[in-house]
Order: sequence, then C-alpha cells, then structure tokens
Amino acid sequence: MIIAGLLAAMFRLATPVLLAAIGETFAERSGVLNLGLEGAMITGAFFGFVGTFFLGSTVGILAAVAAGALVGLLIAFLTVQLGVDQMVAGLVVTLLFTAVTSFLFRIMFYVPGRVSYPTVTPIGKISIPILRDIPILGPALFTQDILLYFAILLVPLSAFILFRTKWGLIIRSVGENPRAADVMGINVYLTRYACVVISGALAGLGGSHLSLVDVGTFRDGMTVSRGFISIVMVIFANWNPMNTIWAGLMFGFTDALQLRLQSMLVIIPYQFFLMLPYLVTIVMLVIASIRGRLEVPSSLLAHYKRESA
Amino acid sequence: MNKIEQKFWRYGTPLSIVIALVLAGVLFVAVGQDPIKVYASIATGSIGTGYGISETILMAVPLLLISLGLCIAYKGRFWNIGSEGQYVMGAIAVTPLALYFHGLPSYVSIPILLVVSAVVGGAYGAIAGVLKARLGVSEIITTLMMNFIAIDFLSYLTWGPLMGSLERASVGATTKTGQPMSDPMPLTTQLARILPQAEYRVNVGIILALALVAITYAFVSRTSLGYQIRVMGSNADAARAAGMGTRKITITVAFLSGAFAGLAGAAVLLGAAHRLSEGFATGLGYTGIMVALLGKTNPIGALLAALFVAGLSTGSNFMYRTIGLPVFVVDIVIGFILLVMLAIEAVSRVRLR
Repeated sequence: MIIAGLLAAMFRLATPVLLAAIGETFAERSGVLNLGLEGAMITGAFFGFVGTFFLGSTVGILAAVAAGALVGLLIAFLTVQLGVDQMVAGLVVTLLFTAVTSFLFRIMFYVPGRVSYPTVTPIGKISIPILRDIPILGPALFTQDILLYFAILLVPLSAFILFRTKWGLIIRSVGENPRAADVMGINVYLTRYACVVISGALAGLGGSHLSLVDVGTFRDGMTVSRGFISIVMVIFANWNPMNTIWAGLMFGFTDALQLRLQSMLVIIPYQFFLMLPYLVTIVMLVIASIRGRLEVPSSLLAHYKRESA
Repeated sequence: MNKIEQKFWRYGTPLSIVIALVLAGVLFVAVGQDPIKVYASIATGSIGTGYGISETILMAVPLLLISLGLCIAYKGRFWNIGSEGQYVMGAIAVTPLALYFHGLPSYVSIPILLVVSAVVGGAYGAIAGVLKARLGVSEIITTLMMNFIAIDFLSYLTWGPLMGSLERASVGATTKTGQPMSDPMPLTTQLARILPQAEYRVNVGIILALALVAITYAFVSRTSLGYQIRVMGSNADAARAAGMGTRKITITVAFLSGAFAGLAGAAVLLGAAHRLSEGFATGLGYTGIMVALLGKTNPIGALLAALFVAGLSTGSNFMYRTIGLPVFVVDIVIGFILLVMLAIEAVSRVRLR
C-alpha cells in the first residue's frame, strides 16, 4: 500500500514537469531556449483554475493551453522575431506573468475579510479496466487523471514526431543549421514560432495539472520553479522525449518521497526534506554536464537573421 | 554599437516607460480603475511626503546593492538569478554574530558584520560559479535552485536554533504563540539613522550603497579585471583566445554578485528589519534582477532604476491602502517596461547596423 501510494504520487508529481519538458524539447530542438517556461506554466495554472471555476474543467484545461500558448507566442516574438537575448526574454516574461497572475487572482477572487480562497473540485481520476488490477502498478499508474495519461502517451508520440517524421526532421535541421535549412526552402521563423508556442501550450497544460489536480486552487507562484526544473529535465534527457519520462519520474519520486519522509522522520526538521527536489535537480544537472551534452542543438541560443536577398 | 547605446539612453528608456505605463493603464481600466488616479496615488505615496521619500530610499538600498552585483555578473554573461538566496545567506550569517557582538562598539561590530555578510553571500554564489567554471553546469538553474534551499534553511533556523528566547518560551507554553523569528539585533549593531524624526527610517546604508555605485563603476570600466569581465561577456571565445582565465573570471564574478546580495541582506537586517524572520526573503532578489536589467547593467543606470523601482514599491503600498489595487502592480509595470525596452533595443540594433 505504501509503495503503491508513493508510486501514485510519483506519477502525479511528475506530470507537470513531464509535460513542460516535452514541450521544451521541441523548442530547444528548433534552436530556441524557452526560459519563459515558468511564466507559461504559472499562467496555465491560473487560467486553468479560472476556466474551471466559472465554466468547468474542460474549459479550464483548454484555457490553460491557450494561455500558455499565448505566453509562448510572446516569447517567440521577442526571441525569434526580434532577436532579444533568450535568457533575458525568458526571465522577464516569467517575472511579469508571475506578477500578472497574482494580480488578477486578487482582483477576481479577493473579498475583504474572507480568509479562505475559492477552490474547485480537483479533476477526477479515471480508472482503466483490467490494467488497474495489476498489483502495485495498477493503482499507481492506471487510476489517475486524464492529463497524466496524456503526458505519458505524449512521450512516445513526440519522440516519433521528432525522429521519424518529416516535420521532426525540419525541426531538428532548423535547430542544427538554420541557414542550411533556409537554403533548402524551410521556413525557419515559422518552425521556431510553432515549436515555442507548443512549448508554451504544454507548459500551460502542466501548470493546470498543478492547480486542478494537485491542489484544486491557485496560489501565488505555485509553480515554484517547476518550469525551470523542466528545462533541467530536457538537458538530463539529452533532448530526447523518450528519456524525459525517466527524468520526470526521478523528480516526481524525489518530491513524493520527501513529502512522506517529512511525516515519517520527524526527528529531522521537515525543511531539509523540502530542499531535496532542488538538490536532486542540481545533482541531475551536474551529472548531465559531466556526461557532456551530446545532442545539444547547435544553434541553441543563437538568433537567426535572414540575409536580405 | 556605442552610438546605438547612446541613442537608446536618450530616447529608448523614457519611451519604454511611457509605453509601459500606457499598457499597464489599459490593464487597470480593464479591472475598473482609473489609471491616472492609480499613478497619482503611487507618486504621492513615494515622493509626495517626507515619509514616502525616506521609505523609498530605505528600500532602494538593498535593491541597489543586489543589482550592482548583478551588473557585474550580467556584464560577464553570468546569469545569476540566485540573489534571493545569497541575500538570505548573508543575513543568516550575520544574525548569531550580531547577537554575540552586543557588547562591542558599533564602529567595530558593524564593519565586521558587513564583511561577513558579503563573504558568506559571495561564497554561496561562488558555488554556482565553480560548478559552471569546472563542469559547465548552467548557473541560471543552480542559482535559482539554491534560492529555495536557502529559504528552507532560513525557515529551519528561525523555527530552530536562531529562534528568539521569548518566542521559544511561548512555543513551549500551551498557547503556542511563538513566531519564527530571532531575538532583535542589539542596538550597537543597528545601522545609524540619518534623520532625527522617529518615523524616518532611512539610514547610513544609502551612503554605503552610493559609495559602492562609484566603486563598481570604476571596477567595471577602469580596471583590468573589469575589462576582462566585459570581454568574456561579449565574446567568451575571444577572451579565451586572448589568454584570459575565463574560469577564474567566472568564479570571481559569481562571488562578487553573491557578495553584494549578502551585503543587501545585512543592510536590511541591521537597517530596517532588526530581526531575522522566516519571511525575511520578500522577493528583493528577483526585483533586483529587474533593476539590473532596467539599468542596462550599468551601475549608474542601476542607481536610477533602484530609486525608480523602490519609489514604485513604496508608492504602491500607499496606493493599495487608498485605492486597493494589489501591489503586484509594481512588477507588472516594470515587466512591461523591460519588455518594451528589450523590443525597442532589438529593433534599433537591427535598424542602425
């Protein structure tokens, strides 16, 4: 029971970072570091909550995706179109939308004198017949929410798109050598725009998992750097969506474990367990850096400016 | 490039501010507020009264210190976003020491405390520098993750070893009213206030910060190391080819930016907060990033930006009490300014080349 519970929490906590990491893989494979992932995620968390609160969870999830995509579009406009430094653009967008969401949440939901904040019923779990009866894995993996299933299916699907389809070849060639791709008649700008918007949309979806499944409400800065952690997952996964699942589950496991250790080992102050996911993220990044970044897209961080004919 | 920068200084920044105020104004209209009233209220709260001016300067000090460090780091393209954690670590280091120093005269204890805060904040920042220099680990991630680690550590300390004796006693009692905070800093370790009136909290921290503006400016533009940092920032390969030790520079830059943030932690602890509490980290480290970018990583630009942003913050607290719009208005306005500024800058770079 304990193990099944731990594994269930692992999958649940991995979902937001997994979704965002898959999206970020597309952006980085096309040559753009979307450092505004955190901003897209918090925006998704907010609009997912707002949509669900007023119009139900289907609208909420769609709103989260749309809002994340719009943040992605803004990042793409700044970096792909105008050539703003990708680091700076991502930071500014993240700081801006962290503030905008908190601002709007106050305006829309704060009533003077009320202590508690509004909540929504968390998205229900869908139990898959037959598979749910597998010991341990059944309750852990096959009695979960729809976003989690979608995230898991997205892993092989994105790997297939990136490595087995023409579209994937286009994305990768734009990320490796945009000038050559341009000469071949590929629209570099359109490809990058599309990939960055996808990364924003998936980060928004991941954000909605935080507000709609984990918590059932919105809180200021509730993503607590999960967008940035997703970027580490991409590096750790060597820019391959298939590997993001392991990276995501490792983060999810740490987070699930520390929550349990807090109550099991009360002799150690709980704050030290809270640090664990961040320490593990650093360790994962160090491991990935020592191993060498074999697959890092060659044109990552470089702005592509088309030569005038 | 120089010409573009000059042009940008003259027209770009004021233009960005105007456009951003209009954009944010549209948002205020959308939520049913008159933007003119909002801005007028912010102005009144920040520079309309003596108290407002005092609070603005008080808040500008840590913002300025943090952003001065970031100016150095960002000039070398070392993306330290861990000021928040380095700020916390600086204050943590100072707390037990200041309590221990209660018998020493101010002119002995305060300089020691300031140096300690800078060294500890710098060491905390240098970890990311070493990881970057030795193993190529992205500093943007490590510094950010270390913010959370520092804040969790702060929470542990303020509930544990550093919890004040009175607070600890009340936790032990059945009432459980104890707050996660330290004992107050001894009077001898508190930064002296400049003005006699009790409500004006502005203290000598501003003098220290202004001196550091001049020192940082001279360091970046007049020293050999400052030059090397700038070269590393504009072209790391060229810096290596010219025989510069980019690893050493990276670690130095990481240390320096952390040291400034640690110093800011001491300035707030000894200058205004007077107690280390669980809520000591209030986001100044993140606002400091915006200040450094707003000042275009120039120390004098950072001074203007820190005063501007501190004014917005102080004014927004006043505006919140009178009009009721949440104080997140500050980050939204600055965020808009930066977006417009980055866009204008990028476009003009292409146009003028």
